[in-house]
Amino acid sequence: MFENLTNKLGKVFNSLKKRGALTEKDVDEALKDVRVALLEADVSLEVVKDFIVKVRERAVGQEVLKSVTPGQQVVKIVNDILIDALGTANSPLEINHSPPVVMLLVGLQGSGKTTTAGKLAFYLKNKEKKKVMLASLDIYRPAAREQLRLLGEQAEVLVLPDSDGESPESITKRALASSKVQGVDVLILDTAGRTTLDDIMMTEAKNIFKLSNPSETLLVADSMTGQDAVNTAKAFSEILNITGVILSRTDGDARGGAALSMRAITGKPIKFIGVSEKLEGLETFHPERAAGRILDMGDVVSLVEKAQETIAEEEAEEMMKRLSQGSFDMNDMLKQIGQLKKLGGLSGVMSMLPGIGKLQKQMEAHNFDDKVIAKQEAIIYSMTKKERTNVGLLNASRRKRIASGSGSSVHEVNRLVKQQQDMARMMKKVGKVGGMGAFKNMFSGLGGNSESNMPNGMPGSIEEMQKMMGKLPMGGGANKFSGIGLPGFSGKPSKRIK
Amino acid sequence: MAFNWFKKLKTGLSKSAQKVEKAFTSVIGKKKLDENSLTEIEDQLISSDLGVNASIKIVDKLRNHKFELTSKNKEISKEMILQVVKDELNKILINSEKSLFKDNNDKPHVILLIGVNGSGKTTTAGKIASMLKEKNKKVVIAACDTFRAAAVEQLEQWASRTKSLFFKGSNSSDAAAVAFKALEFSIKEKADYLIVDTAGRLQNKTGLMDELSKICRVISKLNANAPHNKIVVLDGTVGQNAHSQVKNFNEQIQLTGMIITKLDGSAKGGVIVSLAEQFKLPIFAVGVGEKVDDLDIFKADDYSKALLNLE
Repeated sequence: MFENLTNKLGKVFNSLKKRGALTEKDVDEALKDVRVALLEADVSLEVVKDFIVKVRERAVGQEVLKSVTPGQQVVKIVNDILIDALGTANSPLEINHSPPVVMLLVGLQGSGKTTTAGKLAFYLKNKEKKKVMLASLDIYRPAAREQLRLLGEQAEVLVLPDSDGESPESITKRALASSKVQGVDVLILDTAGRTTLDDIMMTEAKNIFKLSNPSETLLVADSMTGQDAVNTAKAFSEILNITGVILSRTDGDARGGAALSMRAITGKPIKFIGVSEKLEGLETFHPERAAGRILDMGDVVSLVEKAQETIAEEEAEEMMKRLSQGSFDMNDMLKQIGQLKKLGGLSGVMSMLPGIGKLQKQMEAHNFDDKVIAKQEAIIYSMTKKERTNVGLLNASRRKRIASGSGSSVHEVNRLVKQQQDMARMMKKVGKVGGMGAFKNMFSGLGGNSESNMPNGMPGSIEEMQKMMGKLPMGGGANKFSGIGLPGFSGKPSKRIK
Repeated sequence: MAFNWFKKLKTGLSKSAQKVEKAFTSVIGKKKLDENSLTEIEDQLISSDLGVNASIKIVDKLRNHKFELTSKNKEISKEMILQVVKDELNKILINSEKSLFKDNNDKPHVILLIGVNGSGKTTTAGKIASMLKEKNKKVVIAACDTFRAAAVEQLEQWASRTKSLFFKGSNSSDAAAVAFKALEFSIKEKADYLIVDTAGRLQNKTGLMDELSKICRVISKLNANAPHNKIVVLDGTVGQNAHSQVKNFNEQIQLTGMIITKLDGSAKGGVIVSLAEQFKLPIFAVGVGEKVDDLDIFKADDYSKALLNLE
């Protein structure tokens, strides 16, 4: 089905060889197929509808990369938004309250609560070094409590002993009291499975919730769930304060659209996924993997990513060529700022560099933050096209206009111009003298999208980095780290380092 | 000349325009559904897990359907539309109405229950035993889930509730060996039925799937026809993955039917419609609750009505 879809997308857009921005028509055509893909992956219809609206808003007008079709470009955008919508990879459990911390597991019958309870206990005991107690509140399903007891034994954690004829509410109280006495860190309450339409059972869940005041109320859901995921998520989050979702049986071959439905309806993170029948079969959730599986268009996505990388490389190459000729103008500067922003701003780039911890405090002290970048961008945007290619035009009155247009002072404009000129001069020098290799690498590091570029592109040690930067007299020279191929960010006026 | 021709054409057009208008105002006659209503129905079917393709197929039939309007029914009501949809569903599902309990002389009749984890096999085993007990049949239930914690105990409780004979192996013994001994035991006991409950398994786990073939192979040594029924138990909340489940189980051991459980919740289990059509398998029963008698014989019309929320 989805190989078909990929082919189809290719076909639809084969005729459209044009490049440029995605039109509404491009997007709508592609989204028809995306809608089917999501529904076939069991994403709930209402979630699909919302999602499609979101994608349309974001996709229309976006640039189509060279060497991919508009349809492929849309698929990539869908993939990115899907990863975003699925949430973050690591949502740790709230376990650092005063003990006993209570975790309540709820869900439909057969969703995998009891097995998950055993896995959670195993995880908390071994990874978090907690003292754990398991208690079963399932007085309905035959041998449910026996099952939990056996799992507890396997995981080597405490299990609340059974006693006949007790209500789930009173077992809850007993479990709380017992875990206090025994100095338990985490108490895991495994509840009976219930259907969403069973009022009596839903009231029971509510009572247990109130009694136990859990730090985590986890909805356990089968990753093979179909459209009903949306009802399940709604019903449980209406009566309980769900804090997270655990998806069971992701080791099957289901596309797992329920993940998106659950996440969209509860608004809560997917904290774990079940990956086998064994006790250790509990893993953290990875949105990229889940998105890849739901959409099942990995080939298209990686194709577009490749194209993006190539283009970034091409751009970097082109810029290097211009730089070595000494023609570094405001447009080039703007591009550089743009590339830096793509990488998550200054702090993003810095966080990728090795041994940066020490520097970070100094950076803060020197006003070295992302606002500076935004301001510089604004100043350049306030220039006319001509001014950007020829800063010689910038007389006093033009500078005044630019300053007021960008919400900055003439002083700041002057500083930017000076930085740009310093940079242009320096580039020319570097270009002539050589040493381009290292510098070029740095650019591809900045422009590229893959982190794998970074180790080659970026200096390996802090000393190396400082040395390299020391070579680059790029304005803002109040200190050693004025560079990374960018105009200075220091709050002080520039002073060149010779 | 040209003028006359134009005039003629125009009057002709206005005549037919009048006709159309009249048809609408008089309301009696035949009318097709507009696209908005069709989309609404398609959405409802998709939301019941029918799947995109099956839903589109049914909506296409609906698109060409001419609704008979009378002075009583002046507009196409939702009710009328759903009746048509129901008929379409029934056409597909009626072939899947089949009883699990035909009289047979080949005793004990062996029923093998298989399915993914948590689909409701063990509960279904208990319920089938209860149905058979009401028919005064002698039933043996065998626990071949030797993996999951307390699976044997769970089934044992069902056996005692339904007053069936119970057979189990020692812990972590081979499932096929347990099934073989259970059949030997059932023959000795002259039981009418042997219900074999197996461990839940995901259909993409080759090793576990091969175990199913082994169970069938081994018990067929005692009776070439056994297991007489190989039934996949599907969770009513399952989505389109049910296709993969039925396909893989069917390829592995050639299923004889399906049972769909947990239809007492908000899920409709609509995927069964395209499964029934594609695999031509009977639907022996539907599970509608946790109690021992909460297993109903499958009736196409009842199911279709429930799926469409029709009275």
